Amino acid sequence: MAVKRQLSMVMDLNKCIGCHTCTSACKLQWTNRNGREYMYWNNVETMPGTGYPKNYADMGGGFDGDGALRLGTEPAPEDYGVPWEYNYEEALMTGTDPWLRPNVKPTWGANWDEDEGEGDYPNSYYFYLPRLCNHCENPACLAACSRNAIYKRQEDGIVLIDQERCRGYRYCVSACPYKKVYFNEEISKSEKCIFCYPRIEKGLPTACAKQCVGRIRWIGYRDDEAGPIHQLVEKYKVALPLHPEWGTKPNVFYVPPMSPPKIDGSGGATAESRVPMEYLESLFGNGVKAALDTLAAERVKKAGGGDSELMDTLIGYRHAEMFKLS
Amino acid sequence: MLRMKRRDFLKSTTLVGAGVLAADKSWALNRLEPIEDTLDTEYPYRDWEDLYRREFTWDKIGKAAHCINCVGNCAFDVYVKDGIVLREEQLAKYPQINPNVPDANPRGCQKGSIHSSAMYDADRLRYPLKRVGKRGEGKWQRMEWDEITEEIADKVIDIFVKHGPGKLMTHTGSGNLSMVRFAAPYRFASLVGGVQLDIFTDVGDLNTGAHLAYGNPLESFTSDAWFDADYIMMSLFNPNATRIPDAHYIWEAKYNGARVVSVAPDYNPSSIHADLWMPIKQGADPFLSMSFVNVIIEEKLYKPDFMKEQTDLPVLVRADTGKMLREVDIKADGSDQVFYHWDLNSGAAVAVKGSMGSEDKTLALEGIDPALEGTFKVEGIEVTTVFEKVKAEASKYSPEATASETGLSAEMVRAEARLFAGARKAILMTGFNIGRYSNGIYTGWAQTLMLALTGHGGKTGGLDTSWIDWKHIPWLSLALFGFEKFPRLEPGGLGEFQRGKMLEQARKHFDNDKLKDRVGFNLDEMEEAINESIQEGWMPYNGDVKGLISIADNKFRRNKFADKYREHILHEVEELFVDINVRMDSTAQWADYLLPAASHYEAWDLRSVGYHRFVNVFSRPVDPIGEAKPDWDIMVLLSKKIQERAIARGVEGFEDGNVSRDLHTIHDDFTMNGTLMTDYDATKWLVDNSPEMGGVTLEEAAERGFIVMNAEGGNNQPIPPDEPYNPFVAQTEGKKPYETLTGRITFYCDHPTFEKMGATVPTARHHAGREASNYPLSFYSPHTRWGIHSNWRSNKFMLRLQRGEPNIYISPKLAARKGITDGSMVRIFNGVGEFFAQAKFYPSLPETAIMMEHGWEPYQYEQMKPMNDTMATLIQPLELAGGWGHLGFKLFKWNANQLAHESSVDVEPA
Repeated sequence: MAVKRQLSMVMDLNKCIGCHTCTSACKLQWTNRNGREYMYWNNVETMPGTGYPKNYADMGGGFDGDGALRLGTEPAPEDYGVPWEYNYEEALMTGTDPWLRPNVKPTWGANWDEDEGEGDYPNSYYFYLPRLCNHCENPACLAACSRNAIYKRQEDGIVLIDQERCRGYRYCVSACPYKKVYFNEEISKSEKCIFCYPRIEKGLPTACAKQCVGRIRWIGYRDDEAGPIHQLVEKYKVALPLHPEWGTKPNVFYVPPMSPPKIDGSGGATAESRVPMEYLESLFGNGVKAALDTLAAERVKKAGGGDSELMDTLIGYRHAEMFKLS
Repeated sequence: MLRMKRRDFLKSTTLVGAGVLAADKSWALNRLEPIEDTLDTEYPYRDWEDLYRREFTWDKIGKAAHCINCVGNCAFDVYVKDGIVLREEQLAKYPQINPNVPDANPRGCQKGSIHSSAMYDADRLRYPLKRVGKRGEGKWQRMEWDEITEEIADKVIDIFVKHGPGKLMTHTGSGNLSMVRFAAPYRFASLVGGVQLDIFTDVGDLNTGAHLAYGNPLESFTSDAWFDADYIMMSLFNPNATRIPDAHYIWEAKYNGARVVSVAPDYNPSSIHADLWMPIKQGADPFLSMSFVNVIIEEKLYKPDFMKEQTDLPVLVRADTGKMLREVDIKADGSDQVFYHWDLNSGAAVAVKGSMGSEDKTLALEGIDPALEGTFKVEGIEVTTVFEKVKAEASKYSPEATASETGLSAEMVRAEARLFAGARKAILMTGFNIGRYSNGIYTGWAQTLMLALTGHGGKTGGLDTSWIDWKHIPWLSLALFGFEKFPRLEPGGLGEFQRGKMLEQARKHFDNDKLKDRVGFNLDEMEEAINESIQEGWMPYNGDVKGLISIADNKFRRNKFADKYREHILHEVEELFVDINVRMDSTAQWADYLLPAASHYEAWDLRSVGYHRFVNVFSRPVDPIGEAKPDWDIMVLLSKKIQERAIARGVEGFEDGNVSRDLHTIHDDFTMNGTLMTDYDATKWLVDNSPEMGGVTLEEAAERGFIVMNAEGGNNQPIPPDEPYNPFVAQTEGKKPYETLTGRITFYCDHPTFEKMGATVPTARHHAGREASNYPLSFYSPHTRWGIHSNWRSNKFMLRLQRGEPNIYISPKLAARKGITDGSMVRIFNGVGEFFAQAKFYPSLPETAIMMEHGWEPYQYEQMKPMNDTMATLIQPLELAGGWGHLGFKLFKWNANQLAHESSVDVEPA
């Protein structure tokens, strides 16, 4: 590990309910002002789907197999969705507009394909994928910055864009394959998720994690062998990075989703899971099957009255203990 | 090598081009300001980091929850700077009550987490306003509080003088569920005898099947009691979207060993995490439940001990009349509320203990072994058991026989019934949509039968009805004027149906013959049942009113046949329409006077309504916006003006039944002679007087943000200090009778309406849907994750995470057939109305239905034509029954729901 210590997050997609409380928490904590209005440092996507910004996974960036930075493109404003406003005053208070409506015709937004997924009734499938900056071990944004204005904090590995040094070239925006760096037009600088370092420094978890009511998020240091991150990522290997093939070595990990069986023509259950394994592997790499097998085996163990350290961790008996910040 | 140093990257020739990088330029800048490695070494210029640190500062933190009709009830820290609320964050400090059960933190949702933005939106009411144009025209004039309340006071007195008491509706909607905001208008209504509808049934929230069986639909689980279940079935329930703060307990229970099953017509956001999704045909739930019952009986998976003690299944029924054998049948002076078992030990009929007519208030059998099966003779009368009747009915519903109704394979249903029956603790979870189906009463009743047959009650499971009624005598006393005077309480669904003249519209939508086939009654029979219920006094109905004071209610949003309903109501309340509201909703728009109320963060209050034992405290983190006032203070002022004007006009008491409506002392009465003048006074009075709050002071409670209720908070039984709350433990363990006619879980009802409908035992009927009218698509409107009814529905942060305008959900296949593309506008229509909305593709929906989440404000639709213009509704005659033990008008427990899923529509590109 390059930095002295690395903060990390695990999200359990089997507990994510798609409520966007994390998104809302982050929105009011950081991005409802100062030219950041269109940004979602944290967002939740329905998968399979276009993602946010739209089709970001096809925009390139990251590193190739040889470790060379790959070209990427910068999303257009409409790929993010325009943060439309409403005519409350005119429609409701003065009677001068006929009804309440957005000031631009909405054609795309950060959650436009909510609950859509793939497949046909009754064998459609989808799940929720919350995303934030991965605070990568090998950040493509950092590598691409021609100002050297992006750095990793040595004490916690949080990746930051120096807001005094940044000149708004946006190479970082294109280079990040996750498209988690945003250009702020109002100040001509790039901004991104800061892993809530002002909170972390006060001993508080990130807003997205603290406020996550599905209790799907754990935060801790990678090197804390007694902590939840080590247990889920290294020991049980049930938490996997998103798109490891992009070469940035994310520090955000996901427990892949189980899914109920498909339904046959007579309305009965089959033995086949809804979400295709190949699809999950295309997102989380080839550790998916082993992770799902481990989850299934530990579930059986726990259901049978046995002890399961893994199930106990994923249950998260005490919310405060899901975050180990020292 | 994945981790690439900057210098390597710059050397790489593959990177030049496409306008992505201009390497030479960056070299140049680097020479000017050399920083080498920002990856592996300490970055030298970190002073700028204060920039974001400064954004995480505040002046003070207050406490609040959200007083709204979602039963989440979640404590928040409210961050205030320069007198403005910056943001809110869940408090997340609830104590863990048992080390083996996950704690309740951090309850909340995305709506609560953006309320600080919604409270400053331009739809907030900031000043008292008087209409100056026509109703609904949107022309308002600002007034002083003194002036406007005096004008209203005079009009209230006018209504009393002209028409006498009982002609003023003072309806508080479901928007006020915190203690003080609820108590204020109810106390006012109690003093003036105002008409108040049941807020459960006016939106169709009541699980009437649960009341029929248990005599109490509001005795349920705290959500932490889900955790130790080993079987959970969600039907008509989508907690991932609609029970956001509680849902985690289901998925944690799954990791703890529970099997989780979702029964839903669409593969909904909760189905995705289940072990099994049963794609049931919309509305076929009673058929599935009856098939479970069928398998349980046929395969003898039932638990006789539980059935004998806890249920009426061994109660004797006469073969000749089909009525239960009553004491009066065999003793001249006998009770009609005493029933019989056939005791296998003595070979004789013995009176059932614990019934309404029994003096022995216990379920304990004490040496009696009641027969579940057989026929017997008692005093020459041939009798059999309720269980025999249940068996005969259930035999019609084998999984094979219902497969075509439910769309589910018999094999799947059988397998699931076995798993359910064999579970240690099985919970059937239902949401509020159960009450919105005409056959919801059948679903609920059959589900309670599934549970009772398999011994799932108390700590071994039961029905989760999505509501727990905690015990707050002082709160009710405050709201109902010390129980000395009451509002005119009225059934919700029935009251709206009658005043809105909905029968006229229903006749335009439903085909009478088809309807009878589907739901078991036609509109003429329904009309007859309504008239009978009102005439018999089973359900009170007060007839036309002359004035309306509407508090925290959005009646023109929620009522069906919406445009016609609004016309009728506005005509009826021609003399006065006051709306007390935090914001301009679709009801406030039509008022004569608008009184601006304080929002969640602007008043002192307490809230316990929720799925947990915590009473959250509202500490008034900021003062009300503009000239808004807390509801309590508004009612204090309004009652002051009424009293002043009544005295000035020489108006005194109006006799009203056995009480007097004393307008000339109403302010003294309301304020307890000047002791409860403010929101703070009322909040403090509640904390000081409520034993369930354990003697804490308001100051301590406000500091902490919540009060943990003690044992006294339980209605049916004490809240255990270190265990989750399971329903009916007092019955299963303490042998306390249920609040039912027989004292037992009820599966036999010989009320004439039930007899007429062929529903003396649990059975199955269809809902109306497309088969009972003339349009090809079913239409259903579940709750949304994005609002609590219309609250937060128009908030821009929430809308930006949706489609920005009202949308329907449509199967892509159906859309293709209709020439509809994703994101395009469509017209939804039937014989009673039309509306326009954006089409959103949802492959998880069958091709036979259109789904649209409810709660959009009518003013969010094109031309202000809302979904409810096309929404047809009915009244379920069974829910009108009264004069039979526990069946009869009971607020929040027994009366008829307004139904929401009975319509059909067609769709076309707009």
